[in-house]
Amino acid sequence: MYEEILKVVDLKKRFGNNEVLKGVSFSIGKGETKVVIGPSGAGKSTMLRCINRLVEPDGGKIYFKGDEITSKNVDIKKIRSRIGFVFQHFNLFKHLTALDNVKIGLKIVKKLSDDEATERAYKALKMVRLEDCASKYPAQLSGGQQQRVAIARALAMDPEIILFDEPTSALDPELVGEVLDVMKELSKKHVTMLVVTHEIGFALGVADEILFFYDGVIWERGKPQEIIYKPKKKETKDFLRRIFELYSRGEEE
Amino acid sequence: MQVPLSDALPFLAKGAYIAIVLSLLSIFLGFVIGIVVAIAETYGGRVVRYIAMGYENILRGIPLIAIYFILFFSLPLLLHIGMSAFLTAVIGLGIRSSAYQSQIFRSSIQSVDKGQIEAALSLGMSRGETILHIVLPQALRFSIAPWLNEYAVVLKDTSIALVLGIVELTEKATQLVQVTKDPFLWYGIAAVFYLIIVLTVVTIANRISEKYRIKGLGGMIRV
Repeated sequence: MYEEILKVVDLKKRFGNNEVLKGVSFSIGKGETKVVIGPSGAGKSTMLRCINRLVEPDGGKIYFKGDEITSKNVDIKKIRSRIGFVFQHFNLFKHLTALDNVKIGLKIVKKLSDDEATERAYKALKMVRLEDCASKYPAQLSGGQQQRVAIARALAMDPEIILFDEPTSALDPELVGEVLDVMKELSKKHVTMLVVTHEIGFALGVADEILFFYDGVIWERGKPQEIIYKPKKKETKDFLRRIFELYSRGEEE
Repeated sequence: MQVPLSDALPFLAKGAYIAIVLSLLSIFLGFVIGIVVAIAETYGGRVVRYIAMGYENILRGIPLIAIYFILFFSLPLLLHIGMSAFLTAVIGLGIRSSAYQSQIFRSSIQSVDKGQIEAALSLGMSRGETILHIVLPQALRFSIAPWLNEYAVVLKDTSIALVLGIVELTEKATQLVQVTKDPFLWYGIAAVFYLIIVLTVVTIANRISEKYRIKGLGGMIRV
């Protein structure tokens, strides 16, 4: 049965004269994975940030499990604690161990006891296969490990949905796989995910739908196979061609 | 006239004790106010920010001796409140140090990257919780080295409290010089006392710095 987690209606945002989002609408059901692709500056990250209101939208409405969360009198802290966010640059707390990075939200926001928080944090670290690194600090971890800790930090909060903002773009190529593997597993376990990424393979493998962002709107959308192999619009074709060229350049030479 | 060292050293030590107590109370007062001012300057609204910046700039712009005179002579006339010389010394030195310490803390607070703040907010933490649990623990670590510098300044400026009639280390040395006519010896010994106090505090601070060092992040900052 389809249960709606998130619905975005006519979302608008401008920074000065630059209209970044010109009316974006879509929704995500429980257990779905939707992937957002599109050129830089199309408004993908801004859209994600509007959802948990790290950026305040200028227009449109966002509904989280049926409740509008864009109105001013919503306790956005409560909503944020139920929406996971994974950042491009990991944004781990540098003064805390991997375990404490995962625990801190459980203790301060969810008010769990230290024992409960530790138990849940270990469980989350296990899911990203990093329980051995629990006592390491972020600076002692590789980029891929740091991003997996960041995913564990989001997971431990038991969110209704996790938003991923280009989670592998800041990683060395050989580290991308380990992060994508974790994300694929989550998708298979029907964690609801909205993922901004350029990883076309990931999108093909796990996405229920691809949203192609262009010029502040959803330019084209559809099943992964259709969007990737049979895009209808010129802009989508151009974008995908550039992505494919980038990834296959080495093979052709 | 000669004064034997066995008499002079305890005499100077009493002055050193006053200097230590005065400097520690002042640096602590400055620490508390300094953090509040730094947070106000970084996160406050427009009005709060301007008040904090005004406070900082005024106190950095006035000589300590003038702050002492205002507190000790002008305030009682204006507000009919009088303070003891010692309390005046602590408050004067403390608020002046708070202006300098707020600069230290402000730059450390701003050097905690914005991404971590966003991450904390995205977990559902309030702004206050984010400052308390994420920003300050890192900012305070960054502050240790410049803060030691400020402690050395505060310690040396305890000598200015003599204008309030407080007999601390420098004043004790002056009294010995007046009796013995040997400025080189007694001021020299006083200087050694100051040096020992500063080095002791540096050693303690380096221990703290090492204990709370964030692993994997460069070497420890020795001062």
